[in-house]
Amino acid sequence: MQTYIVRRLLIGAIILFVLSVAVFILLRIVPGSDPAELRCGLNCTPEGIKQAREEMGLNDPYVVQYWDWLSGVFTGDLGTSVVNFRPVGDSIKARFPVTFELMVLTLIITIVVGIPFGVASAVWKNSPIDYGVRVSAIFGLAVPSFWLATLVLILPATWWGYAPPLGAGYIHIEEDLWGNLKQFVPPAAVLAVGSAAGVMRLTRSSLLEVLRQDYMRTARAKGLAERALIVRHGLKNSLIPVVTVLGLQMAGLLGGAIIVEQIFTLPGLGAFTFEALFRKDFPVVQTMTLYAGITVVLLNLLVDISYAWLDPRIRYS
Amino acid sequence: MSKDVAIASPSFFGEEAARPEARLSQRIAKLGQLARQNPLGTIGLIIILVFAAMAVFAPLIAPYAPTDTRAGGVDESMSWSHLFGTNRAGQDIFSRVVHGSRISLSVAFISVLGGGTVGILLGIISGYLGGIVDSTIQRTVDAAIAFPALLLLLIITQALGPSFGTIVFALMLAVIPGVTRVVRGTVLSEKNNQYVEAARASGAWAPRILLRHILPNVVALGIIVMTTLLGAIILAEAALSFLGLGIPSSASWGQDVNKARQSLPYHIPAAIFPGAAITLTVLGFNLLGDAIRDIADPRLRGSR
Repeated sequence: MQTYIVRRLLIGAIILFVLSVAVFILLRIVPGSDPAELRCGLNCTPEGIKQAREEMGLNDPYVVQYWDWLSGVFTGDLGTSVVNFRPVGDSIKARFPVTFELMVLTLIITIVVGIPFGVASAVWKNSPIDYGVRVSAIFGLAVPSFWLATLVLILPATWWGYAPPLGAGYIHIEEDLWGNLKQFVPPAAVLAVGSAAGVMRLTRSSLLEVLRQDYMRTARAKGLAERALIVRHGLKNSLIPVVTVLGLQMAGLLGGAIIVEQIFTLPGLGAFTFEALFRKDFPVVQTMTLYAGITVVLLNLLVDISYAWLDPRIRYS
Repeated sequence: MSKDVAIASPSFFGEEAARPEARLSQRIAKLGQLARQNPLGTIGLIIILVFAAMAVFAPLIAPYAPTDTRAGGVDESMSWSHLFGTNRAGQDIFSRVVHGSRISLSVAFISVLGGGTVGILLGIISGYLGGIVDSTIQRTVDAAIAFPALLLLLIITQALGPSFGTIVFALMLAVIPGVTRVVRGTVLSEKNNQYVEAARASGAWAPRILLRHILPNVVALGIIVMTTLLGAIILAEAALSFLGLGIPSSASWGQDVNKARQSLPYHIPAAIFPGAAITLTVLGFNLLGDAIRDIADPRLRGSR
């Protein structure tokens, strides 16, 4: 198991390296995006730009620039924003709780909605419940989250004059639980629609597959109650693909966070990345790419390790 | 897969060509049967055909030009003269939705076709050559699949500037990894088949084996994967437009939803209809993609 984890982490490191080099090059070869101008400010002279380029090390060869950035990452210096001069590490620390809470809430809603309905759909196959679940899953996968978020904002505002706390900054959960939930439940619910739809579909098809197995008939023959049969034998054995998809979905959530944090004005990492992109804030984009990559690699590893727990036959060596 | 091979065999066409009228009615009967067995896929196909017709005949269907600010008053609600009402700029929302299908569909088709072709080629190269080429391509594919697609799309379009070319390019990059991986897997298993061994033994050189023997077997699979990706690509393009990095155009669904979100006081029809159009189109492609995958290759069932 340990060698397996080490090997996976090494492969992960290679992937992250490829990714960071690609983004690094992409951010630099393109015309019309000179962070030195941003650094220099509004009343900028050609000399000022030159000086800014020198200070930011933009005149160094790319290899040197990349090395500077990479060694900074390893020593805990994640770079400095060229827009507000704040260390990127500080901004990430301040904004991480927002995106983390959004992801956790989304994950909870996804599991609480997705798995039970998926199970019901499989157990009562071809019943009205099954059709209801399947149709809503099909729609859930097709609805764009930005549209749903827009409607969640617009419809209550028009009909009842209600709006979630927009532009209020981060309402800390320990200070004002109700305000915090008002701020986080709508965006999390919007993000969960797509992922819950995927989980419902997958739970259904995976459980149907398991219900056909011989050991299920054996378990039923030995007189196990239907409920215990489905939860203990059926569900646990059908969860592997579901867990994989959950992992992938959580990894993709940073993309979704960009959209909903923008719409619901949440000061999280998604909004941070998006603003940085728009302002061509290289160091921030570069570091956030790495951050997203690390999240994905770790989540995938976590998913694979959980397989061994879900299915004891799986052993890593 | 075996079904495709049977249809493509020369004896099948030769035999049928002798009785063209029999072939036609047989084909229609077969299609009807297929449609009855896959009602959801049929619904999907109908939705797509409707939207495709809308895109092709947009100027004939839309009562107003999409940019015409004098089509009606400001924020009119639904009526016979303005089916979906009008927006803040006084433009006819129905006409904008009809015209918006052009960008969505053309971008999706071009990028899936282009990215799919590159993906198939890369998959064949990767699977057939193996070794360092294979591992280089596969690690790159891993990196691309692992990364949040929307973030990658945003970085590329923001770096290169939003235009038709760059967005198609960025979306192609999003299509390539998935297709490459599936095709590579098939090539790996095809490579060890006896017929490839026989071809190699009889002195056929590598490109010939690839073109004549392996390509036909993986193209079908590649096309299936491409169909299932069309819906996702439409969603991605709409999200880019929504975030202001879409193709500059006269009418775009994603942009219109964004505009409706930003203009206070809110006018509900302006937000509802463009988004509903995106949802329906994606729904159509997903339903068709699922059906095609189930018909063509049961092994892929539930792979999404």
